[in-house]
Amino acid sequence: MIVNILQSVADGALMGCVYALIALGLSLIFGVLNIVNFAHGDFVMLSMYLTFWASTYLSLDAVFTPLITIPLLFGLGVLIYYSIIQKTLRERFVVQVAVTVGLMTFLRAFAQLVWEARPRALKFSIIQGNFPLGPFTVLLSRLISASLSIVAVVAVAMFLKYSWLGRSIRAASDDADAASLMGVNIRWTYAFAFAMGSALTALAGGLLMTFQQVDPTMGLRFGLLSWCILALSGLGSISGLLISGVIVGVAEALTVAYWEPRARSLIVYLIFVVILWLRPRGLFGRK
Amino acid sequence: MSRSRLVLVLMLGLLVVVSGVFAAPKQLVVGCLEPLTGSYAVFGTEAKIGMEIAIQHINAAGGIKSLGGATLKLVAEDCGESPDTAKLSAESLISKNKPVAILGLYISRLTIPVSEVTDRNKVILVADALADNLTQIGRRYLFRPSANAGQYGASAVEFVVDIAKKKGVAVNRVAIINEDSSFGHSVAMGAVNAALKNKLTIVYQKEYPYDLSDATAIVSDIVAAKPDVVFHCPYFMDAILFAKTIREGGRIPKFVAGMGACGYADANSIESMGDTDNFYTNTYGYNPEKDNAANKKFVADFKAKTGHIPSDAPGMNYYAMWVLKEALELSGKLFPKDPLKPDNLREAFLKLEITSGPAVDTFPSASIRFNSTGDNPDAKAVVMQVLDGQTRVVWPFETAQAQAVFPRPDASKY
Amino acid sequence: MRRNSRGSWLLAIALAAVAAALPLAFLRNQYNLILLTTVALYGVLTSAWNIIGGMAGQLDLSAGAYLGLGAYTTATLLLRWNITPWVGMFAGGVVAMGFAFLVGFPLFRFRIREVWYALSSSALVVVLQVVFLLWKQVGGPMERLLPSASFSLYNLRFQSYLPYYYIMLVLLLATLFIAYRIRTRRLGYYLLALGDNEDAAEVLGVDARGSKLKALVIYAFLVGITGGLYACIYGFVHTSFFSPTISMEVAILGIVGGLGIIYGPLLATVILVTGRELLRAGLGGRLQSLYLVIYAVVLILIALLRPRGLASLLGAWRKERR
Repeated sequence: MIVNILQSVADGALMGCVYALIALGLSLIFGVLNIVNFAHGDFVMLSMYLTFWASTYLSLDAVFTPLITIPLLFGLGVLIYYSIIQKTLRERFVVQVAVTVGLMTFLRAFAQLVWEARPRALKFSIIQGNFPLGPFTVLLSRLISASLSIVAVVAVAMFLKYSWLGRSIRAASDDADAASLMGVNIRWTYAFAFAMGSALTALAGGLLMTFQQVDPTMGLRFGLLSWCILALSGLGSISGLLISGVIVGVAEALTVAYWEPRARSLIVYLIFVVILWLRPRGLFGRK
Repeated sequence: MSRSRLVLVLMLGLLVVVSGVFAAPKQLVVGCLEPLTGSYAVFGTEAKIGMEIAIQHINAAGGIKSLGGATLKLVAEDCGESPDTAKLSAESLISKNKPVAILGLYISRLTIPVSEVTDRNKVILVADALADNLTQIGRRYLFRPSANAGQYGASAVEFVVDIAKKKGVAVNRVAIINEDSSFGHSVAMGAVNAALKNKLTIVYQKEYPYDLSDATAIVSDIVAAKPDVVFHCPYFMDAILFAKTIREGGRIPKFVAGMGACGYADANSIESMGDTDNFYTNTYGYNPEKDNAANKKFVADFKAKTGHIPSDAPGMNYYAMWVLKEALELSGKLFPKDPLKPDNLREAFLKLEITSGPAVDTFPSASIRFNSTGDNPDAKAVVMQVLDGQTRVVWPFETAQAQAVFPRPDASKY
Repeated sequence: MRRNSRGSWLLAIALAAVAAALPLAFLRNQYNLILLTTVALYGVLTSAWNIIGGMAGQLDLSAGAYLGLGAYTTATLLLRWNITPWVGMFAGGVVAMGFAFLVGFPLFRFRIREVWYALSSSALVVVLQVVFLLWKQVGGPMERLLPSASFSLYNLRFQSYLPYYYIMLVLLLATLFIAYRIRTRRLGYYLLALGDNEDAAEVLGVDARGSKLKALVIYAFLVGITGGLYACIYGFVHTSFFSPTISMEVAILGIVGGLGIIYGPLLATVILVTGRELLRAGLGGRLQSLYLVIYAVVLILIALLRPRGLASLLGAWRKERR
């Protein structure tokens, strides 16, 4: 029994790291641009389809496809920023929501137009496999995905902390006007942050495709999930984001295993609502 | 305009009027309502292709002979995935095109409101939604040639019991899992009843949402319950998820039998899973391997159009269209004066007794007829297994094309 | 100002008369009737949403929750105790209202706003969907059917959509009237002030919590009644009624219609719901999801080019809001 519970916790924690990676992209976009992006989950969906394409037509293994999809999503992020997002920066947030929900509908319909409704999955990835660890079974694909996610999250944290560009992003996020006076090109920085947030979903998409499949309607779930993780962690703490991702992943796994698989989203949302009530800035929030 | 030309025009006009009065209708409209967008579009689009091919074949073979060779024409609309779009699509199709019959809808919660519409307009609805309750709600103009959801589940259990007896493998403990739609629920209930009837012990039972993203928890629970056989009614992608997780986890039950015609033993799943998909089975209301000219022609044409063999949705609608064709023929014979009157066509459906022709050639069992509720009492499901990347019919044994592999060669001791 | 207001009243009455006469023009065509009914139904949802979303500025994404509660209450009362939906739909409204109170009280008490309010209201829809899925006595995975009848006043089940259309129309007019009353009373000014700048309004002595709660509860009541009718029109209830998609759609129509403008959401509903249906009927059978791509592009364009909403096209912005 204890073994089973620990196994579930471990499985959920590994999944939670990938969730955290997805939420990190959203956190950048929301934290820096203060844009409410409802289409974030659909970027994940798009990345997964692009991974599918890259993998099928270039015979790349899913783990390596981010090499191609990250630049693609980055470019798409820049494009969407300049064509759509920039025009909503000074609008009330309901308008931002209307625009991004429109974007969500668009991406979903577009995916169906291009890839049809057929769910797509890849054959066995090279990182699939398992090894026993005492009484536990460790799934290799989850372990590698989680490790890569953590590496990516830490890398982004370092980038934000030490690089010049990263510092200007943080400055823009703290106080756009002051940063602009200090010589930071706000528009360019925003575009970069939005594109980076989108590009992170490319990595997540590649990792998810090693053990999951994609269909055009799955974006909403990832979108809401990342908002929940963001609420749990609060803005500005990257380690908090990882911990929150793990909490959500573990809660999901335990619910599926020990209570009722159908109540999976129920638990996540209940945590979300309770946190909002009790800790509106999140568990690790800075602002 | 010169005088002779005027005469010519008048003559032509007269000809049109005369032929309109005396000749039989040349073209009959058949409606196709399928979810072509949203999460069920994968089935809807393929179902529509099945109908299109059926209509091509019917028209090429001379149309409805008893109606003077009238041809069929398909008019399709997207019924979306909510009751509002479904009802709108049905009313739109009926008011604009006056179809003799409508095929499709695929999802029971769309079929329920739409069958009210078709009943009011007295339009025949040949349903491809399989939930058992659909034929128990007193719709007069609804017919369903294929097996219902409960039979899909029961067939999976009967297959396992038969093959286990044949191969001398002990099967006592079973697990039953299903995705939580009304269809999945109905299939699983059919399996539960059949399992109890065959004195199997159900050691684990679970319903889960079809968009489950991680099956590890359920799989480790199943393994912990130590079932001999797992019966699984997946949606589509969850089948891939379960198969991959079971393989990755390395503790594999004696057998995993799919049920409900979605996932595991279809071209998409094989393409998506590669050799992970080997030895999985599923129950189907259509048999793409039935060995006769009509079926081969359909499979070849479908393959030419889509690149893979037809799954349940297109197959079911292919023979449904032929059933409609037979009913129209019969109505033409029984009611030569007014064959298209809805009640006459309904009467023809009830009197149908199809035992030959393309409808039965592509049907999993040997005859098609309808009882007063609109169900086909002779309907059966077949079991197909993935063997070396190909799907083969393995049950019922009389029509099987290959020996089932049972138990799984890679099954492990718990 | 006075003459102006009398003019708008006359215009409103004339438009209502046209709406009431519309079915007479194509009485026999059920397609046009169901399209009108659907537009009216969404019109009620978006106009009711306008109270909480448009005036109070709370981006509510829980229309599906109250719609589902109303539908299930109505259906359960009818199926279990044979209570007519005429009573059931109001009971559904009350249940939705009570639920909105239970949810809204802590939300507003803890000052949850903006995106966080939007997300928690959206979470509510999913939570209720799961609860009804697991609650076997009332919900469950199977559809629950209402009795079928060609014309049953008691069961509120009709084969023709004509009665439904008129019921929806009455509800729509009632909703617009309620929105208008709120808009021109103190509650309306409070809500608009809150929608503009919540902190500033509170400094000026606006009871933020109470006003928002009132708006939410009225909205939930109207959506709950609609839910009861929704169940009767489609003849069944199912957990898919708790739909995040419908909830988002209602909010989007409300936003692109023009926040806080009484007729804005209705205008957007009439144009966009009809437009999408025409696209679906015209293209859906052949080019499948292309119509959704077009619809999405139109949504984005309206939101980008007309951030004040479609109603601003009519030049009514200045007159109505400030």
